Amino acid sequence: MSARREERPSFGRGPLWYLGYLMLLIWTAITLVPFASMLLLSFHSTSDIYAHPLGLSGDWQVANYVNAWSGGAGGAPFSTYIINSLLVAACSLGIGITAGTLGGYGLARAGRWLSTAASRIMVLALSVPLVVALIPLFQLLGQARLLNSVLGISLVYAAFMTPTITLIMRSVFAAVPRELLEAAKMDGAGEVTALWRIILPVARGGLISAFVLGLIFVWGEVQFAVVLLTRPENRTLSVGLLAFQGQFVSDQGAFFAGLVIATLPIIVLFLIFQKYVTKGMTLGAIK
Amino acid sequence: MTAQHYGMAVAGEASAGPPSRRSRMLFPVLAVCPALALVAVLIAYPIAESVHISLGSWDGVGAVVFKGLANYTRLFQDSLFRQSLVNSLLFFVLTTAFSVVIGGLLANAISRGVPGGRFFKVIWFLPVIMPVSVAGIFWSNAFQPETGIANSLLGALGLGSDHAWLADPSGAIYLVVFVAVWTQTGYAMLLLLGAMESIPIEVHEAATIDGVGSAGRLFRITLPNIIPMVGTVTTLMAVFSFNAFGIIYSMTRGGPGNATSILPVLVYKESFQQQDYGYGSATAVVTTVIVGIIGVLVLRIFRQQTLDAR
Repeated sequence: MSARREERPSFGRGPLWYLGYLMLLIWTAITLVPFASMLLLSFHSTSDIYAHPLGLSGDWQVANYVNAWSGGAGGAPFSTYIINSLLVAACSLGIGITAGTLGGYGLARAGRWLSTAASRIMVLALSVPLVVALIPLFQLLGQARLLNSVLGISLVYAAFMTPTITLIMRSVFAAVPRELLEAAKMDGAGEVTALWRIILPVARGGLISAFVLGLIFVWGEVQFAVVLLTRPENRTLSVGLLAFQGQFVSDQGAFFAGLVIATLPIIVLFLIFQKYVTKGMTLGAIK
Repeated sequence: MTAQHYGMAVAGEASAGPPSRRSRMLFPVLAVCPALALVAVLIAYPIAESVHISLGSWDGVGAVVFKGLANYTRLFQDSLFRQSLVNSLLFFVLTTAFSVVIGGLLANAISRGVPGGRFFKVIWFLPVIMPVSVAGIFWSNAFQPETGIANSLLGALGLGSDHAWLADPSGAIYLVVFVAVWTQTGYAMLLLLGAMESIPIEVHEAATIDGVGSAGRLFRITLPNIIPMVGTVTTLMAVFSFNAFGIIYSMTRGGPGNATSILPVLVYKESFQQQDYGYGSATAVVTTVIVGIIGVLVLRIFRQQTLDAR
């Protein structure tokens, strides 16, 4: 890939080229401002933030992070939101990846009729606006006494990530050499063992994509969480943050520290698994 | 190594005969079941139930009382619905157009190998990863008069630091569009870049030899070749912007007044603040129909374009 890029013809650098490049730099600045600003402001006291909104001067302190972690008035501490998000992520990814991997494997190997029909259903499910399922899911989870519970919202998230994961895993398994599939099937070990021991290791990249994409979805989802998790102690990070804004009006430093705590893990994860994220997002988009 | 090992195992067991066709087909069918069950119970059933609730009234407990099309007739006389519809359409058109165009220009720059391209690609994608509530909260904070970073930057440039953009009913929607574009453009860029990189380099070289400038190559070579992906990306961006509940809820809750209330926000207010679930469901069903129509239209337009481009 990089070798190919070097072969690209060099383009003339007239005044227009420099103007274009300046635009790229401006877009880069707009992209980076929130990240940099959050980080800088999270190390200052409220009075410093009001005096220097750019966060470049004033006293530097880390106490904000401690305050954010232990929480403020009128809500749960940040640690609760993080733990809830992690629990919901673990539970929904467990269900979603299991169902999606099996589904993708099934679609890659099933007869043409089932494969086409089920793939169409998955693509349709992928395009459904979340809002149309909101009220019935509130009703359904209410009847099942699963509102304000990790299991309830995890099932919903799992269902909405299943189509994407199924389609990603289908394309991964479809690329696995036929002989490997046949060989695995012929071995007396049985279908499930064959899938587990032979096919899954080959599909590792697809699984990582599914995992990181699912985590990004769960970490940032707002609409379902606002409706299905109404008690402060059950909230996940994304909606906890909305309450957090009110909790910390008088402690802006802690407020920005909270934003950093919410963003940093997912950014680090993305930087580590970048290749898988971009690949998964591309696969999920090509229907 | 594993393949070799299994190759021998197959040879050794060939005498046992292959499994029957029926048992070979059974596992794939069973494997698809959990995924289909999740989709059926938690996506398909809710859609049907939405239509059911929209045909009656429900206050959150007990059974739905059938009312026929009353919610729908009420919807078409409701000025709040009309306002939210207009907001949604404005928000969707602007957000989609800007994120596809900016994403395309960014992708074009990377695919032409601008200095620092690989670094830019990572940076420009970061907003897609940031939780939308963080993005919404940060930007709504940044747009506050005096204390927000956007205002203090303008103040430093001598342009005044007291702009209360988010409190202005006619201007707030554009700020929300800006933040939506900020969060979506990286995704559009990624997909368009993938399509651009699959154009053979020889095509560009031949055009350069023929004296086609870089703008000419963008319109005469790059664009016609990526039209199908532009269609996919436009559809995706349109669906995202129609569903952009998270950004708007975390920035303005639909306010000031109802100036930034798009349809999903209206559904939320009608149902979970006013407990008028029947009416909320009718709004949600109409929203879904509109999203469907827009999706089909966008794909149609680009399919036509693909034929023309050939």
